[in-house]
Amino acid sequence: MASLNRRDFMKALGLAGATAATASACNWDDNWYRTPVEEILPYLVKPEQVTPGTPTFFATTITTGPDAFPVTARHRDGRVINVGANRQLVAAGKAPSAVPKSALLELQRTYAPDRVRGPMDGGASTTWDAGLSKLATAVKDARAGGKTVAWIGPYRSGSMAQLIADFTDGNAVHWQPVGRAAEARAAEIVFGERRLPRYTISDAHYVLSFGAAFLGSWGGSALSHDFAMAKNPNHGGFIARFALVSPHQDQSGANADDWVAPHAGGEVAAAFAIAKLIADEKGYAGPANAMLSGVDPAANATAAGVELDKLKKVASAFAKASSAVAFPGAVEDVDLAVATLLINVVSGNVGKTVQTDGYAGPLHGTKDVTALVEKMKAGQVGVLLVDDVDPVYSLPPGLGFADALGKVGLVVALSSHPSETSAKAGLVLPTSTAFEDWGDEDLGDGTLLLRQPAMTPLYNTRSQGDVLLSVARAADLVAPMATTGTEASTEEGAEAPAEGEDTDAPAAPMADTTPLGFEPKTWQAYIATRWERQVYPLIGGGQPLPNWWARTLQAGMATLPSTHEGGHGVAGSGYTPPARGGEAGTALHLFLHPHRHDGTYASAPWAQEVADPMTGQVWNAWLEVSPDLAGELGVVDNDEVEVKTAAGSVRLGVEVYRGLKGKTAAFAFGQGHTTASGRYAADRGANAFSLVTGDVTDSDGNVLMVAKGVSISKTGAKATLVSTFGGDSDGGRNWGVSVNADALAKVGDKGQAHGGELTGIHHLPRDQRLAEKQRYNFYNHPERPTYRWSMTVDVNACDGCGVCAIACYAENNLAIVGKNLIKRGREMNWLRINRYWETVTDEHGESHADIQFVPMMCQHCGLAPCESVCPVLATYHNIDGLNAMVYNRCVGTRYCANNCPYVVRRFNFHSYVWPEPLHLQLNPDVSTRVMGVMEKCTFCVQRTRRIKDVYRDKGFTTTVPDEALRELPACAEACPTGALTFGNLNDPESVPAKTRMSARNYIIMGEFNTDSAINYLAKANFHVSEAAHHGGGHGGGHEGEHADGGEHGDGSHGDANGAGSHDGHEETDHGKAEHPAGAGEHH
Amino acid sequence: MPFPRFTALALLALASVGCLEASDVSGDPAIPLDTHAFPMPPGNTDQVFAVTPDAADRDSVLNSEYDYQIGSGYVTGVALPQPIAFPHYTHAQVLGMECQYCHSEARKSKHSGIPPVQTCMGCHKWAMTDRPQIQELTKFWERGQGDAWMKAAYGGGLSDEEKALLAQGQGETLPWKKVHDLPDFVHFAHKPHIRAGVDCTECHGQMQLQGMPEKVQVGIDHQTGDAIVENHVVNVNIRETTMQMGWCIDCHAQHPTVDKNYGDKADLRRAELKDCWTCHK
Repeated sequence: MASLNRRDFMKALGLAGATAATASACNWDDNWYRTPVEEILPYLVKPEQVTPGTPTFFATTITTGPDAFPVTARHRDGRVINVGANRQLVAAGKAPSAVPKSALLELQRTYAPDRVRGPMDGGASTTWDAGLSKLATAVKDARAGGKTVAWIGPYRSGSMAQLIADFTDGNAVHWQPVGRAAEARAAEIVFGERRLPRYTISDAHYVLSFGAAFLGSWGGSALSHDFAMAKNPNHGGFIARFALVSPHQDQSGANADDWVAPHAGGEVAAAFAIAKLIADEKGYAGPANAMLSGVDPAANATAAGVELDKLKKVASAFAKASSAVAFPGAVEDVDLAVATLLINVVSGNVGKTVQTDGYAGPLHGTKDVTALVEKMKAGQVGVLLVDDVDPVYSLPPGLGFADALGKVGLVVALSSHPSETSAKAGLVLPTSTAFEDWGDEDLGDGTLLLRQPAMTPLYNTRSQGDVLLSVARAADLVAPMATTGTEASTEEGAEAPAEGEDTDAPAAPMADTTPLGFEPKTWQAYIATRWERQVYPLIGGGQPLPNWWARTLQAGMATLPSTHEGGHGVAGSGYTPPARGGEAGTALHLFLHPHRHDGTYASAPWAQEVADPMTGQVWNAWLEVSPDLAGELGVVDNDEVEVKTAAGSVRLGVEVYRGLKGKTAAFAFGQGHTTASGRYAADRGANAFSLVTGDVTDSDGNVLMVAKGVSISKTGAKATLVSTFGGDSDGGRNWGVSVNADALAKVGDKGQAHGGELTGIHHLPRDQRLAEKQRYNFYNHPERPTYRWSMTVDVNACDGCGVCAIACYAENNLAIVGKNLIKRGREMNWLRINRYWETVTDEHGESHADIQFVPMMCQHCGLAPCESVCPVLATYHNIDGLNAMVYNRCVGTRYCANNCPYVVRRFNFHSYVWPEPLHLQLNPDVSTRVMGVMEKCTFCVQRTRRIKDVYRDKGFTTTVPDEALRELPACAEACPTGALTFGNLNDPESVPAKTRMSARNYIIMGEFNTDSAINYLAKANFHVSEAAHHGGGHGGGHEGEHADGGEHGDGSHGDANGAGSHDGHEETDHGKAEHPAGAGEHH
Repeated sequence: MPFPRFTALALLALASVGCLEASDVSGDPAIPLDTHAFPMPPGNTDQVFAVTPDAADRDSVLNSEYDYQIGSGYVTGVALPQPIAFPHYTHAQVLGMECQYCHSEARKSKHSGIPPVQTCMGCHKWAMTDRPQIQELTKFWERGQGDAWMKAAYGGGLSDEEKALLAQGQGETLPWKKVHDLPDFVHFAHKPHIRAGVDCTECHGQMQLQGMPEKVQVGIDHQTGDAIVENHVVNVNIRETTMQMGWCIDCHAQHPTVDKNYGDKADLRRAELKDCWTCHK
């Protein structure tokens, strides 16, 4: 047997079987008809920019309003298949290297099978001409009858906001269910100007949040990026500390170093107390004192249900920090937003971490929606245009929006995404998505973003701009020539003096601010004309207009000099903090879901399939219940409970959740759609908005999206929750590792003698006898002469948002398998984020959470356990250091997956399909896999091969430089925090090579001698003891027993200090069944 | 594991080393692929994505989508009836046109590029318009409203009537049949081969002879007794290679362009070229 290698063995085996079959074998040439004959369709006339088989990148802008973000759409053979970072802007330092989650989910929604494919009139399809003339008649009639033409939709800025304001004569409500209007209103109260604060937190030493999802749905990629910078020990020589004051730790809150839990709803009182305490400590004597004069911190602390000492600690740390920032809460609330702004004001951080020149476009709160509903009920609304929002789903039922729709003359849905609201619309005029349409966005600080279509509309859809322009012409609308004084039209558009484009530029060329009205014939012309008149004169720099326009489109962004004047002064004084306390009894906290947001993305399968970062839940809605409350109710995971408020009641499965204290439960927005919202959103648990009682308002009169007076009872039934998580602990295996933040700040992250000084984990071979013989491996050591692809995962930077996992689905054609198969452990993710949740005890005996998010994908081991067991050599080590997987060679024994200690291999138990037209998004450079083959992360081999090819064009032996590699794989490109960095380990200047020398370097399961190509950097935690490293599996108190931290440093120890040998227990229990990362059937 | 499945798998392994042809494994109905090793979970209403063919419709599935998904259907070089008879002989041999005049993406892209009809019409708007095959070609162009598309791409603004024509012509083009149909898990790229200096004919054979007219006697002129000879285009199969993996690998191991381009790093390059992920991604 010694001379018979595996392939020969298989050949011999095959011959035995072949004898039975060769009799019927026929010549393959005669057999061609068995394959369907495929057609090759050439272009009739080829577009100049397109080369079939090669991607074309279009700079464009995703999402609208304050969250608008520049990206590139990757166009391939007629369709957009993926979204990437805008490299040109990243290189110029104008945008962080990131792909927002919303961009990827928006992409999938573009290909959603249930998109409305053409105009619909009363449920029957109609033509555009008929639909538009019906709308035009209705608009004409409404105007003639003195009725309002109103618009409700998400935050729109730039040209679209202007056009909508003109079209509706100012009756536009820019609203999102859980949005940011409260902050704008708070800024109006505090600074006297209604525009969003702009946060610049990369230098913030202290971050205080009252529950805002600033690392998730709320802040967008830029905040995540800046926060990671603030926590990066190599940036500025400090590590930011993050305190959370909220009853609930969501994905953003899980990154907190300190957590103070008030009662649900107690954030406002706590925030004002902290503001007052900081003002006192700092000796603040400015005008904001007038607003804080009535605040008694002790009384507020009691109302909030939190000890005053804890608030004092937070306030004092905030006041002492050289720069700090405070963020508002989980749902928008003007009072909380005022309080956080005041904290920033009295601590002197306005101008440092908080800028007052943020987004100035229209943002409307629930107050304005309520006013609109009143108008509708009174029959004053002739035409209601509903853009891409779903008020029937996301307004509190008590508001009566659905009934009020019946009193509107004509309800028109202007979105091609079906929703509960569009199901009630008389007319559906489907609009094109962001990838099919023109547009622009104005971020307020001088940044203008452009959107251009990156593909032909998939269906018979039109741009919203074209719809409004053609209806305006048909209905003979006349645009108001001067600004009308309503909020919608004054705040946006260059016409308003506040915009600044047209003000005080004495010597500079002037923008032509003549209102465009409805004069341009098309939406494209509208955008082009507006930019030509209002932007080109200011920054054209004498270039010919066509050249300038082409360059601007290529860049996707233009930057005007910010003309916002100072404005840090505190204006308001007529504001009094409300007396609102928390709910001491059983309470319910509602929050935005990191993937599904407010429900907008529930119809995107990726948002359902990719596990919830905190609970691992998929495809469902669940109630997070604090351990105390669970004990009181007598429920365990997956028990069904009934949650009742005055607004309604729902039944939910229970997830006992450590990020809640007292008698609090938490429930995420975003699920519970009906079939009206499409097949993937339908019937997934319950709708959190249906529990909103609507009786709690902030001092501005906005109904808060909170549920008061909740009662929870056990039903006795079992729910059907499915989670991909197997538990909170890594079982002492050091998958999630924390080091002391102060020690790290001292040691620094660079220039170490060898890696791992702080973690104490070195990737030396486990067996000292082999090490002595210099024989690490049974097999020959692989040769990797030019490249060894490698990645660094910075656990300290990772905030768990999960965009990497979604980007991986988009890039690599990962199958979506659905809830039932995930329950059986058959999810197909190549990249998952393991969440570890341990408790550490600091030197004062206080317990703190130690949460790590550990992205886990194929480690591309140099000595891979999977390779040596494959009978057919379908997986092997390639010359670039990749653990390659050849699908067409795989016979599906699954030995490799059994032998992989990282549990990253995925087996196709079925052939999966992509319901039409989701298949149009598939990446043609990656094979789709079928039943019976194994698959796993390839480090995006199609991208590494492409970049090698690009550099080979410069000369056959040219190697790829490090700069071109860092964000090459889809996950690294999407990551806003820089937690994933790719590189060539053979290049000593590459990031992975350098970070292996970092003091907080560790290799997962390095003691197995896998020679992993991925190294991890430990998380900085202020509570872990300085003496020794903290592996996620070790209980905090028991850490002190290890005195070996000081023994590190000579680099010669092998077994004695190796990670695995700390407790020795993993020798007995490294079985896969208990593996922390296993796709276990937890429930 | 059921025996037939195992046999098929073993045969697949054989096919990959060249002992048998691929279709012996997957194309032969005598060896069923067992698709029921892992049945669907019962009562699975949630499951909208997984497809496991039933025994009843297995054949139809195997012959349709499922078939080429697993890439068992593999065919190259078969002369298929094409929408118009395009003679490479006339263009490449008689007129001496470069391959890349039409297949202009070969040096830039994965695909060699089937020329847009616009390339054909660049000449045939005027050239040889009396020939029936050219008239066929022109019909495709007119049906697709090629002139309006040209104007849209290069000629500036369109009138409303012309825009309506564009919509009419949407999607109309020349439906060529694919001659070389590699399995979908093979990601062959033309560009690196062309850049390395590999000649088109090394893989595609003497394509310039495809469509060469042959003199064929169709009868006898009874008055003169001479043979009546007509030019008949014979779609000879001029493919000289199998385009199977073993042939690819051989070339990757031996081709002189590697030495020429990589000099003392040629051995390294050859090692790289052996990587499965060169084509299978």
